[in-house]
Amino acid sequence: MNDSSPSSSNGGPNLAAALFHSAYPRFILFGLLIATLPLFSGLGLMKSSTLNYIGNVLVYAVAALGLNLLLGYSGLISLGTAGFMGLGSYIAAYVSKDMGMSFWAALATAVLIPTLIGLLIGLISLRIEGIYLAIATLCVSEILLKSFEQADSITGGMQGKSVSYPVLFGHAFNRSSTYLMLVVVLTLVMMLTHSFVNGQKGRALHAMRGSEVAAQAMGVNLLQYRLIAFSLATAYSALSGVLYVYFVKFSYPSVWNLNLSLYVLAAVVIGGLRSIYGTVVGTFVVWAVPDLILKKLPVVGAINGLPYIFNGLLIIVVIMFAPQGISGLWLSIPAMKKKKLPPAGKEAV
Amino acid sequence: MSNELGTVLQLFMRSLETGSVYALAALGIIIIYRTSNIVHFAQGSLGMFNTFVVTYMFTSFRLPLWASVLCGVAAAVGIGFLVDFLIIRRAKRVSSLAKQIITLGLIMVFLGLAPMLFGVDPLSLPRFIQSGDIGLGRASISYNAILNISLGLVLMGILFYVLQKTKMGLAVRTTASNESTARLMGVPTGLVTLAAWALAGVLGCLSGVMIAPTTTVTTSLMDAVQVNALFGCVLGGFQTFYGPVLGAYIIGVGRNFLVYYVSSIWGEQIMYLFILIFLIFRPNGLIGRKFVKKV
Amino acid sequence: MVDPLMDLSLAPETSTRTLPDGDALRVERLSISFGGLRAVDDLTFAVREKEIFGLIGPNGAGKTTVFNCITQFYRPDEGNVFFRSRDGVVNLVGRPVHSVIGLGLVRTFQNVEVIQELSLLENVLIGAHIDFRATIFEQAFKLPRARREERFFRKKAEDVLDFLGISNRRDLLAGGQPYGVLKKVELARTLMANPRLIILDEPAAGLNDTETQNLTGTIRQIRNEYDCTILLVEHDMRLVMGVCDRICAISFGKFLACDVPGEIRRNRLVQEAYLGEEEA
Repeated sequence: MNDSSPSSSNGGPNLAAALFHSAYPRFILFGLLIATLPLFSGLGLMKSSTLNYIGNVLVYAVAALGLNLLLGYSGLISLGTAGFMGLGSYIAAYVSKDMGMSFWAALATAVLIPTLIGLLIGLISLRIEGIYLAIATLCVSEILLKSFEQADSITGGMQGKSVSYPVLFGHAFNRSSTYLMLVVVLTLVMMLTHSFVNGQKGRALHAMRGSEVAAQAMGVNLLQYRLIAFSLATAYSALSGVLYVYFVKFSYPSVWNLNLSLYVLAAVVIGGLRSIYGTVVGTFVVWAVPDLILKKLPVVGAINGLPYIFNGLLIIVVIMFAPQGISGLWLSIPAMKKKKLPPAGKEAV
Repeated sequence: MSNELGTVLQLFMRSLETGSVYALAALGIIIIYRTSNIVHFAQGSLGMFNTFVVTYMFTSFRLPLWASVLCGVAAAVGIGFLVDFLIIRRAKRVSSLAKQIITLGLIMVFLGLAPMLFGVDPLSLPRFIQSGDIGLGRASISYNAILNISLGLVLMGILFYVLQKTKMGLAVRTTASNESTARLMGVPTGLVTLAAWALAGVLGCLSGVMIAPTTTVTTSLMDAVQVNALFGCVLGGFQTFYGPVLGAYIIGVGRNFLVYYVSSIWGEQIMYLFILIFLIFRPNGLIGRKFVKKV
Repeated sequence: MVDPLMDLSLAPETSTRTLPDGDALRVERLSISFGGLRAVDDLTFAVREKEIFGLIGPNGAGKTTVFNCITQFYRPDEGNVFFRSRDGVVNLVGRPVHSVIGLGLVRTFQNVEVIQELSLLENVLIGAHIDFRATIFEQAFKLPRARREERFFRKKAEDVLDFLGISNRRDLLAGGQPYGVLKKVELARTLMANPRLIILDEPAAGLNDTETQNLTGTIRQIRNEYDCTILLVEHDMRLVMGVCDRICAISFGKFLACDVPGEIRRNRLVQEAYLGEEEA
């Protein structure tokens, strides 16, 4: 986390330039920024519950980034996010609590097993397409959800399953340090995702979405890349579930339903397809805006349910007036500025 | 022997009852899908809200049940009109993916509206016919279940008659097959989608009223119905109006038999697994064609 | 169908099972039907190495279908496609579509197939897809090999874009670029793969007169500088006659003639096939 930008040796203005023009330092800056939030809470500038909401956003953002890999980059859809998040959370809880194994073992199993199921869905995706594929993934998610409810001995059934904060590097974490862990994980995930999508494999996903025939002609093996897309999205979901269970310290079956998958989908579309920062912003809009902002407003916040109505309307309005999502709006700001400027030369005839 | 037969019969009738609930919801989803090209994820939430209207009218205003249901139906029509008029027809240029998110926004709106207007306490709604069973050997089936099943069948019968045999139905089918061509041919497609949203609302409300007596009326009343109706749609295929209805009944029957005869814990999961495996072999549902892509 | 007018030396050769020296590609007794309609019917022709070879025919003659059969987008009902790859002669029939480029055969598409949301440079980089060796982990963690490869192929893509004269647009998104530029992007993408044979499906479609004229030079330049064979389908007769060394004419999926442009122009069968189209 404390690594500064690679070009820092040049010093001075170059460092500033690198900070703003190179992707990695910006991600680290972003991570440092959200990492300082507990300080505000400690100084009494921010309510302690606010930290919980922000922490939830960080957790869900990981799943949303995974769905963006699938939907935005690869053009494949899934409504199975919630089921895989739940699976990740229960496996992590079971391995660390019931089996008494380390955080790392819990993390590894909780990501690996769902990823294998994700591979199976990747296989299915070669036969089933579009809305049928979306509902097929929902089907997988529902099978998992029903199993969470029924497999009492592992999941605790309807009573849910509890864990304690993780023990890492010999330290028993508390809420603040777990929050920092979320920040570190999200920042890392953002950086890795950024490198991945801008590299050869990421371009192959783009090609698969943009033109399957061109992708094949250029040597992209569709099966291989669908497997990559689905296993990555599932791995991200499972990781998000692991983070959830360690931060919230509880996993209930009722959390992992269709609505959660739809919220993650909304976060991706609202934030903007193929935008990493946009996805995080979209997650914030979906999960934190009703509780952190709308509930604080006079009148609106006081009435039961009203924040959610507003958030629903906000989502609808964003979709209708900014179909490219918030990142699309952001990108169009420079274009708008340009239009306002007087023409540079006298080229017009 | 006759007991065994009675059990099967009872299971079957109960399945038909759940199947009717799923089928009404699925029909709502497919009507919206075919006319507005939106997978209606809020079908359950709208139904939930309108069932709240019915329950509220019944408990707080002490209206008779039939009058309360009429109020719910009226609310469903009104809300359907509003949703189409205010949102859907203004979102024509939105990508089809983003349109699905609109229905998600609707879910949030109605999840918020219900507790705001009707409070956070769970309510309950009685059955239409409070008591009375028909004996079937040792098994029995309630009059109310028979009412629900017949109501579902009659309603769908009327709808399919209207769709296939009337001018109005022709307008709907033309819109469904190609909206812009239909408009050019003078079909009032705006009216068709308006009616579709109202109709989907009514179907959702009725499925909610049917399922409400078996549980309490809360915001999660329709969660299972929504999911099973969607599964009914993929099982039957999105290309016809009757496919999803058929799919929904199959799920209703299959689920109950698997839960009773195979495993009360794993029955439902096995049902869903069957749907998945079925989709692998028929990727476009029972009644669906495959579109061939051209290079 | 026996035709007395057909020069015997140009008649479909009999199967030799291998590719004679000097031939880059040999389509042999190729047939494919769609729902009873024979789109390609017992077609045989051979393309020589370093040749610019044209495949022509009236609308619906099955030209693109032949291309799809060669590149394995369609599986032919009968026949073989022998191709001189980097590792010797192979039969393409039955191979997975995505493996064809690895043998040294790349194609473009009739309706440009570029990725709208990527920059021109990134689109071109997709052409080098199979030459990357870094694993997914090396790429995600930007390990040295991944960085080195990315730098190397970016430079190569820039050179290719430069060669085609569109390097000034390399960082612009493909979506919204003029058709002519996108056609060049597709060309550039094929060049990234160091191809032995490039298949161009209507390279001039949608181009204006000047662009079409320039295309002749570009195609020749590609053949000379990249030292490869070019097989193209084109409607613009001026381009085909101007650029091709030899031309094969087909009609309703059947072989008509294969010769140098001047002879094809004079060939009665070819004339009749095209006249038939105008009368219809």
